[in-house]
Formats: sequence, C-alpha cells, structure tokens
Amino acid sequence: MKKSLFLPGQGEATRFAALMLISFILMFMDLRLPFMATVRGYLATAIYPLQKAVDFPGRLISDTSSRYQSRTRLQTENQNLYTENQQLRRQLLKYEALVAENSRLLQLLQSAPQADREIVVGRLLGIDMTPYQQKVTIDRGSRNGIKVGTPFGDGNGMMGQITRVYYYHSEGLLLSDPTHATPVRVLRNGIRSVAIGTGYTDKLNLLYLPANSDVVVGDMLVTSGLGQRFPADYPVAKVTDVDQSGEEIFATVNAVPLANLDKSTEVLLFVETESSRNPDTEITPAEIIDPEITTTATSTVTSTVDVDPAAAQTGGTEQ
Amino acid sequence: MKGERKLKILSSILALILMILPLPEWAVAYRPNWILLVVVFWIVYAADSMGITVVWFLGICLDLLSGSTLGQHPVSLMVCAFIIIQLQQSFKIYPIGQQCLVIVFLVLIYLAITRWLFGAKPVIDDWSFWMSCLTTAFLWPWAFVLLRELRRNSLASDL
Repeated sequence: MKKSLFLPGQGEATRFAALMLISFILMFMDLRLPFMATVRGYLATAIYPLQKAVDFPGRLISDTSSRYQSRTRLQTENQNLYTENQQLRRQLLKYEALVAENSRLLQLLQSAPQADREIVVGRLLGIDMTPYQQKVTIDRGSRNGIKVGTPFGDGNGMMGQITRVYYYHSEGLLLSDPTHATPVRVLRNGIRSVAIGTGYTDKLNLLYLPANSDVVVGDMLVTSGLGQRFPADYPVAKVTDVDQSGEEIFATVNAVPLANLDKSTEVLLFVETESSRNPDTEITPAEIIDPEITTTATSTVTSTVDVDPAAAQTGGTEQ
Repeated sequence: MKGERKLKILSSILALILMILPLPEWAVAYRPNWILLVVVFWIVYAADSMGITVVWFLGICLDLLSGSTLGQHPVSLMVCAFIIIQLQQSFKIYPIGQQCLVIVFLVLIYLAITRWLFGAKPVIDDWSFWMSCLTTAFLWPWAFVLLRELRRNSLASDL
C-alpha cells in the first residue's frame, strides 16, 4: 500500500492532470462518436444492480403494506374496481364500434389505419438527480423491445419518450423537460400545435397558436401523431390559461399534463410491434390528407388558423 | 485494513444510491451531495487508499447512473478532491464549524463547474440551485461522526 498519508506529493498532481485529460477526452468521445453508445450500454448494464437497489426500499414498503390490509378495505376496493370495470366495459363496446367505423372510413380514403402498439408495463427506478433535466429511469430495456423514441405514459396520459436504451433498463425524457416538444392537437377542433416543456411538471407551453385561434380553457390536447414518435390521439394535457390580448401574433397558451409526471411510479410503454412496423402503416392517415402538416409542425411561423375538416372529423368520432 | 476497506466500499455505494434516490420535485435542488461528503471524509482520514483515481471512478459511476455525459461528474469531483488533498493537514484540525464552511465552498465550486464549464443550465433556474451547499454542510458533522466511529470499530476489529 502506498504510504502518502502525510504528503500527497508530486504523484497525486500528475495523476490528477492525467485523469482530467482522460475525462475531457471521454466527454468529447461520448458527445461525438456513435460507438460510445454501445460502450456506455455495457457499462451502464454492469452498474444496473445499483439502480435496482434504489428501488428496493420502496418496493419493500409497498409489499409489506399490501400484505397487511384490512378485509373491509379490500372489499370496498374490490367493489369499486368492479363498478369501474363495468363502466369501462360499456365504454369499450362503443369504442370497438367506433374503431371499426373509423377504419372503414379510412379504407374509403385509401389510407392505412394506425396499428395498435403493444403495451409494456414498467417501473420507475429513478428520477434524474440534477435539476438540469427531467429524466427518469425505467426498469425495462432492449430485452423487452424498448427502443429509442418509444413513448411512455401512465393511465391518464402521455409522459414522455425514451432517449437511451440499455439491456435491462432505459432512460426517458419527460414532456415537461424544456428540450422536449410534443406535437399535439386540440381534440375539440383539430387545431395543431407543439407543446414545449417548461421545467415545471405542471406546465406545458403551446407554441405557434395564432392570436385568434379557437382555444379555450379546459380544451383537451391529444397527440397528433405527427413526427412519427407518439401514437396519435392519446391524451396529453388540458389547457389551463389562454392569453389572446392581441398585442402578439401568437396566443400565450399554457396547459397542465394529464399524466402525474412527478407522482407515477408505474409507466406504460407503447412498444412498436412487428405488425405496426410494416411499411403499409408507416404513413399516418393525417399525412396523406394534409401534405403541409409536417411543415406546420416544424416551421416557426404559422400564418392562419388551419382547421382541416379531416382532423376535425377524426376528433369528432372520438368524443 | 480489511474492515476499513469494506467500510469504504459500502459507504461509497450508499452515497451513489442516495445520489439517485427519487425525490419529490421541490426537494431535488436541496439534495445533499452525498458523494462529496464520503470523498472528503476518506481523503482526510485515509488518504493512502482514497486516491484521486478512486474519485474519478466514482464520478464515472455517477455519470452512468444519472445519464450525463461521461466525464462530467469526474471533473467536478476531482477538482473538489484535489482541493481537499491540498488542505488535508489543516482540515483535520479545523473546528467543526470551519470544516462546514469549507464544505460549503467545495459544493459551490462543484456546482459552478457543472454549471459554467458544461453549460448545464438547470431546469429551475433560481437561487435554490445553490442550496445543496447548505444541506451538504449541515450533514457534514453527522456524516463525519458516524463514519469516524464506524472506521474506529472496523480498525479495532482488524487488530
């Protein structure tokens, strides 16, 4: 063992400089070289037990508390679940008829319906330690079919998308991260917009909505499916305040995400299956109907309110 | 020496876990810098085995766990560790209040490096960004006493 207890000396300084250099080279490589993603994948998988250990105390508590629940509480819970199930079943009957009708209409328009995605349930293992970004770690990885870009949500709405995938786990970016933009549309009339995160989990900002656009407080925002990342028509947020004072070209519109971004511990991952990946379904119906859609989603200025009848129609059938 | 080594590894692992433990949104900025506490303790009290290489390794682990660019945490951690190595002799004999003050400055340096060198702009950008320096300094006396006692026990059991 090295005897430098009282004099750190020369060796330490050289080693410090060398490791500094290595760190900067690593940073450069990690940012610029694509093969580092694989290296990182192996390293992160090696350290996965630590990530799992974080989950352990919480799981222990929930397991023990679920074992010691009172009989009456379980009975009422069971009763509630039963009634909820009945209601959902009734709604589902209607939903299936609507899906059939929708796909028939889409066939008439000669465009392919969007295939369903397989849903994988995952658990949140961690939330990013720094306040720089809103990231989560999920205990499902490439062995469960997760890919970069796989969207995830909870029972109430979309939460974000996967940005890095490892073998056992993956990292996801939340909707509320300032670098995340979600293509959305207003369910009521089909007006499209982009929801940008603000850094606060209870606030999204809607971009490029003209000052005279028809958006009111309480409007439901769903994913538009543009950009091919998020499946179309999943709920995202509810409009909380609209400022159309007329001084600006664009209205200032804020919305609150429907998903519990800071409370959910279980997430649903919408994994693309083989059937949904076949070339027929690559193009979403919306794109065939309206070719200017992609430009609207990406361009910085939209001049007019564009309510296209097709989007309004699909919006109508869902309600 | 064996018990001490075990304690060193266990405390490092615990610190890593505490660094990524999910916290409610308002508390994230106040999370004490556990890893820095552990690094400072072991450098001051057992410099012969907590070299700068180990610090670098811990930083890489943090990068992997938190998903930041590889090399980002090692740089900030190593700068703090290097300062402590230079201060090592005097730090030991500082009164506890002064030790806490040093910790405050170390955390501020750590945060400043991540913030300005890497342009890592915090999501919630107000004064609370700097608050982890106070929580870390507040925890130092407790962490220090706890680790010192554990280390004594482990040394005694080795004899």
